[in-house]
Formats: sequence, structure tokens, C-alpha cells
Amino acid sequence: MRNRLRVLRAEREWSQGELADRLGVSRQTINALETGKYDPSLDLAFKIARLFEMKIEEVFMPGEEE
Amino acid sequence: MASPNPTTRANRQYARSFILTMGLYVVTLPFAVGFVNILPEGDPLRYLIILVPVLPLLATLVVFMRWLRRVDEFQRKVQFEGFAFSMAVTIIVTLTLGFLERAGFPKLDTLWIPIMMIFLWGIGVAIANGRYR
Repeated sequence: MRNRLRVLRAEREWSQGELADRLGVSRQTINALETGKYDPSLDLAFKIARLFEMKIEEVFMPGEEE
Repeated sequence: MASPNPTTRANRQYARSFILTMGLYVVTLPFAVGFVNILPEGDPLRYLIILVPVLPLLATLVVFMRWLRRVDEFQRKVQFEGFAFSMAVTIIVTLTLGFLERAGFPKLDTLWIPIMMIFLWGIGVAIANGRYR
């Protein structure tokens, strides 16, 4: 699965730590998500989409990591 | 100040509680061993005293399980991979040694098994962390 997490975070000028705090996860978790090494659960994916005020499919897309 | 991030909060509380319970273990162990050596052989009190350090270990188990339930899903996945690695290698090593003992290899103290498991768990977590970096 691919995602736009890094771009969305950069647009808001948040650090990985800031995003981690907003989502209630660790900074390592954000890093693993951004590098595409870890696919989140549906629950976390929805939480991320809600935080960015987007639809889940606007943040996460099917397919291999670029 | 308490962090609003539940994972950070869980990590901090875990670190504090772990230091406390393992500190109790480190303190009670030499006392228990010392007392047992004073008491005459066959005294049932020896069994009771040598089991005292197990109490802080049980407290550490509670602390660890509480931490594991409170950290985020990715951290739990990393820990799971660490346990899986540790368990698999421990099974292979202990089975191999068991076979060797059947062939006459000297019997080893079982106390090294938990030490090896903890060491392997650390390696497993490091491998998992490296894979997801």
C-alpha cells in the first residue's frame, strides 16, 4: 500500500514527532508508515485520514511502495 | 508533565515501573540466596525464601503486559517479531542440546534458558526495528 503521509505532513510543517503526538503513536511508527514499510490497521488509517480532514483513499492507495 | 501521547505516556510509566520491580528483584535475590545458605538442608523454609525474588518478577510481568497493551500497534508488531525470533531460536537450541544430552553431552543448568530468551528477544526486536527503518 502507498500513502501520502510524508507530503501531507510536510504541507503542514509538522515534524514526525508532532504527527506522532497528534495520532498518539511513537515517532518510529510514523517513520515506518512514511517509508511504506508498515501498513496501518484500518483504525489507525481512519484516524490519520480524519486528522488530515481527508478521505482514507486520498491518503492511502493500493499498490506497491514507489 | 504527563505527555498527551498515550504511547509516550505508556513508555515513561513502563520505564519507571520496570526500574522499580527489577530493582526489587536485584535487591531480594542476594538476600534470598544468602538466607538459603544459612538454613539447614531439608528446611521447608528454604523453598519459601528462594521463591521471594519471583514476586518482583511477577510484578515485572504485570508491568510489561500493561505496557504492551497500551503502546501503539506498530510497537506491538515489533515486539511480536522479537518474541517469535526468541521463541523459535530457543526451541531449536534447547531441542539440539536435549538431543546432545541423549548422546552423553553434559547437562546444563536450566537458569541460562530465560537469560538466553531475553537476550534473543533483544536481538529479535533490533532486527525488526532495522527492517522497518
